[in-house]
Amino acid sequence: MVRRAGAALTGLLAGLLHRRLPAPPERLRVGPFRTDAFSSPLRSERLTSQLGIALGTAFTICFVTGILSHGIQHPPSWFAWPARPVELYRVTQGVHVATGLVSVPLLLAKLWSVYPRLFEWPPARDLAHALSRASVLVLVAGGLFELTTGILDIARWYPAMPFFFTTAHHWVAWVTVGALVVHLGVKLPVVARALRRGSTAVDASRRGLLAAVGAAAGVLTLATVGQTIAPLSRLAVLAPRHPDIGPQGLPVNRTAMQAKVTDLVREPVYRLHIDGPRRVTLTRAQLAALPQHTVELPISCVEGWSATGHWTGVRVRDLLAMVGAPAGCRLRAESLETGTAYTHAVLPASHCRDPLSLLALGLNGAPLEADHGYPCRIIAPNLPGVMQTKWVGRLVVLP
Amino acid sequence: MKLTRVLLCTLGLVAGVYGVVNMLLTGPPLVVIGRYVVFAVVAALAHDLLLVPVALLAGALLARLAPAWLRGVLRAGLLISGVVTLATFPFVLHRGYHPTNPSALPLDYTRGLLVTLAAVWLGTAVAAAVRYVQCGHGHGEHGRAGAAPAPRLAAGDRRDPGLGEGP
Repeated sequence: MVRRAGAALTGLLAGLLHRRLPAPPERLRVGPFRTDAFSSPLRSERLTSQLGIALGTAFTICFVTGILSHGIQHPPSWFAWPARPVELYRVTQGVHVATGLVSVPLLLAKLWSVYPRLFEWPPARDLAHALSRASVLVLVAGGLFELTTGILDIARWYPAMPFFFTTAHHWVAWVTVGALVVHLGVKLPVVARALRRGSTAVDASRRGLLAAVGAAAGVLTLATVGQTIAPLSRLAVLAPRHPDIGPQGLPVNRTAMQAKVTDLVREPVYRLHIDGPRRVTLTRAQLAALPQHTVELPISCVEGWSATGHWTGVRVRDLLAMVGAPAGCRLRAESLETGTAYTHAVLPASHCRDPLSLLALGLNGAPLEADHGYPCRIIAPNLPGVMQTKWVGRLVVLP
Repeated sequence: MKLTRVLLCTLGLVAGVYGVVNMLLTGPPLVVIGRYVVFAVVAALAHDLLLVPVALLAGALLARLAPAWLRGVLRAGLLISGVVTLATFPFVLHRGYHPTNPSALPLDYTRGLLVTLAAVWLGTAVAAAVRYVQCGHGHGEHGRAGAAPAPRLAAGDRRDPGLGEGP
């Protein structure tokens, strides 16, 4: 009886989805709605499928690397991000931005390829067709949103976005990826049919078009990826950052003036407070008198650029030992900067233990300049730059 | 295949609904979410009503004015130039630059774009020369030696990307 009820329910649903909807009058079928309106002989299901697979792969890479970056900054309780490999986050975030840029020619070519479907007739044959079209609308709008906001963000053109970029980019990513997976489910038979083996490759012009799309992605990559892959930095004439350009040879995201800390970091005003089982207060001179270590670590920004520096300072684990912090603790670093979302960050447990994690006092052989976080900043392996607090005023041991 | 399709559609729906519900419960106020929607819709409209028509116009001009042997090469040059310009014009406009932080957007992006476009068109010119030679000096000749073959559909492929066929 359950089976019959189930079959009846499925039948009812299928009937609802596939009941024909009334079509608009034929006299409205003018301009781009006519059958022969789009004349390019290059369009075909196979071209659309090939572009779709490339684009779907790119969006999946962006989604995975993006959610990872989000998870590192806002870790759920079950998530433990390791301190090694040192360069891992540099790679994942570099891939995120580079893949996003590659997605621009892929998305534009794909949308050109299916543009006639915007004007298909009748606009909604049945409910299933209408829902499928709605999911495509969400996918197109969401995909364009992600790429546009991503580029505006790395261009630092914030006024062009009437919202906080980070949260917007994150939420719309979920909606876009959901629509992408629905789209794949809807189009699976079309893709399978179009990519079946045994076709002779007579479409040289379409191969040329795909090659052009690939070349566009290649040019865009070569002109920008040097912001994170240092050996290619000479080619990166269109990259928003250059790994060697900045104070002490390293780029800066937030300056001391923007952070409004220039008065707070001066001697003799400055003190570092460390709160643990014991409480310790240190001046910069006292910090400099502690055993110093030098490490080579990159700053890897969420914007997809990265640059390596030689940092000198006190090991985080030495400071934790000084206040009697328990094993496996985390550390919250609070900046003298206040009033933004990034004024404190929690160093995960594995990073607190790692000998490469420093409270740095110097960069590339000289004391930290104001823009790099004078008098001291956190520097740790495999962590986004935004979590490596500058102008540290207080360290708080967390369980 | 049917089961796979149903699973994919369900999975996608769950992911999308999760995103929306989570955003409504823990995310920014409705006013701000409204701005996301407006931004996305404006982007889609600008693409569909401005960007694609420009591309279609360029394609039509190419079909009308360019000799068949040159069409593919020119199309490639225009495509690459258009995409690179579109993706990088926010850097060229330099709105994100502030003199207090010269390490952000430190380069001359107008020059960078011009250099990149010059390299693209140099490559296009080389490709055109190669094509010219390949076609047996077909410029101006009639017959098969002069024309590039019209794109034919491979076995199993279809002309229209699904107009009138099932979802």
